[in-house]
Amino acid sequence: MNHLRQSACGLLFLSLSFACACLAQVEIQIESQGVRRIPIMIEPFFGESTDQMQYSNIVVADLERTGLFRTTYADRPTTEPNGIPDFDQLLAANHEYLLVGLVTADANNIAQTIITFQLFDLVTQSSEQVLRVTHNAGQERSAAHIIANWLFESLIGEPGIFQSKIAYIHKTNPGSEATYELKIADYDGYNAQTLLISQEPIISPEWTTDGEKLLYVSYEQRKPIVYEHVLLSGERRVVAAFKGNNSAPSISSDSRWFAVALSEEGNTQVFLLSADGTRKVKLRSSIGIDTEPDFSPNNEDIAFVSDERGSPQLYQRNRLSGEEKRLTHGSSYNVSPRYNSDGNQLTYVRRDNNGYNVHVLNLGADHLPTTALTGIDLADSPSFSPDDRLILFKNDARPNILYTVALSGKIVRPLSFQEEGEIKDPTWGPASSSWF
Amino acid sequence: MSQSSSFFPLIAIAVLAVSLSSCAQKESFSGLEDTTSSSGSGPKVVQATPQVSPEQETSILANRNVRGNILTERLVFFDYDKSLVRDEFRPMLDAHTELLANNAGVALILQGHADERGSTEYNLALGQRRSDSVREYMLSGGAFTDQIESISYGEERPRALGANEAAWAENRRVEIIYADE
Repeated sequence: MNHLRQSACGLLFLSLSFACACLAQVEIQIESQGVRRIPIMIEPFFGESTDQMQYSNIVVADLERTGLFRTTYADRPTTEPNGIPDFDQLLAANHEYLLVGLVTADANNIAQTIITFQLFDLVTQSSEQVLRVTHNAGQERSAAHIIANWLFESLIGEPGIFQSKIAYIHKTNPGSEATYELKIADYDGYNAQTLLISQEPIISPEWTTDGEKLLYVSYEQRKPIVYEHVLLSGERRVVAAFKGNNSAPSISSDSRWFAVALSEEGNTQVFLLSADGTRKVKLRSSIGIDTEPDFSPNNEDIAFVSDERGSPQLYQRNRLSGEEKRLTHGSSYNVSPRYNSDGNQLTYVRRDNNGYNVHVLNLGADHLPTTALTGIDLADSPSFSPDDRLILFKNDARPNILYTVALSGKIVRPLSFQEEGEIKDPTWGPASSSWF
Repeated sequence: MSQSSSFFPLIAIAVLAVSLSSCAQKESFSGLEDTTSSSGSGPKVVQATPQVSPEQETSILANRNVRGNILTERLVFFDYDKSLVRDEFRPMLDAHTELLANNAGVALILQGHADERGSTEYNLALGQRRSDSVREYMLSGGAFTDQIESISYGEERPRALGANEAAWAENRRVEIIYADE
């Protein structure tokens, strides 16, 4: 095993400073057609660039993706922070909020940029405090996500997730000369960084709850072995390297147990491994394939796939009592279960008449109702956003991009970034970590 | 925005750490020890078995790749979501099995593969089930357990690229790879 470099990592800081935050709670009214979307006009900021670092454009994309806003992106800026917008005209156009901004260089520190912005309530013709974000070069997108987070929290009343991260596998040169890279990126795919590169497959990355490590499967030893990888230091350790395949890693939220799929007994079965390496427990004995375990947020249950009855179906097993519940019916293909952070929903892929769709299953209701969020897709690898409002997934028909779908309104949007080659096994990380 | 009533505590500065730029660990694993090729790259010594004379055996092994020989067929294809060996592949598998049964020193790897649809992990397990299925078939035909290793690459090594049934059918397969070739 070669030695992985350790690198000292200087953390960069962004400061968001404001004198007073007057949080506005907006009730989201349910309309007959679905959820009401908050109408907001966003103007380009004075002085900002018009490339992929354009703050206002990033804020629009962040809000639109959630399905909770109806954003209108103005052609040009009209109002500076502390200015007075044309309330009557904007309200007449059915906008309820207006965001304006101004970008300037910091006179005291030329390396820094200052974004000043202000939110207006067009209905009450009042304004929020003027706020300011200061950032260094290269942090433009993060600064825009901070503004979007503030806006989201101001209008929805819950923290935004626009600074969260995703992990995925990037495969180039498909075929026998393929290269596999394990990458992490901003939630919208920008600022991707490679953690691991290999000529052999890497699959199934999985975040730890604290966002400091990833679990994944690597074939670098010419067979699938599960590793744990510390993001900041690059340190790695083997989690499971038993005879046969070692795959489908999942970790409990208290980090005490791993769940993995092993084929050492022949057919693939789920095992629990204690994080200290002292215990190995088979979850259950099945005559079929059992795989893709996922811990419920309280760690009491494990959802998994089993085809013991002839086709892959989802099951949930209570770890203490051993009680099992079959979760899926009516389709012969149900895979890749992931709990949301409340534990009351599962997302998974189900084959319907029109294709492989991302579904959400309501665990709280008696008959376990399931809802398709996509249509006519080759959907793959769904995972919840940290706030459970969005699901990140892949569509095998367009393998070089990723999608999100908002549970509210089933709004499917591709991420605007693309990779050359193929993106595989995307997974959404936590809202924040010690390093982001 | 309810300016009148709700004033929240004054927040001076929220410090937000971003980015681990330049911290990415970029490592190639091309330098790793290759634990699978312990036999080296030289030719393998084939052990004779009581049933077959050395000449016969050599000719069987040598003829594996002669055009028209059934032993040149090394691919077993499967139906969607299935691991059952279809009848059309039985004569070919019987020939490979016979070669194994008559040549105890010959070993092969069965690499299971799946098409790309659905889950990476379920496909990995399906590929394993397919390679196990072929392994069981060969063992029941007289091959020995230590001659066959079954593994799975799932959907990671497609033979055909493309999101259509023709490509997917090409990719649901087990590849027979002789250790001495």
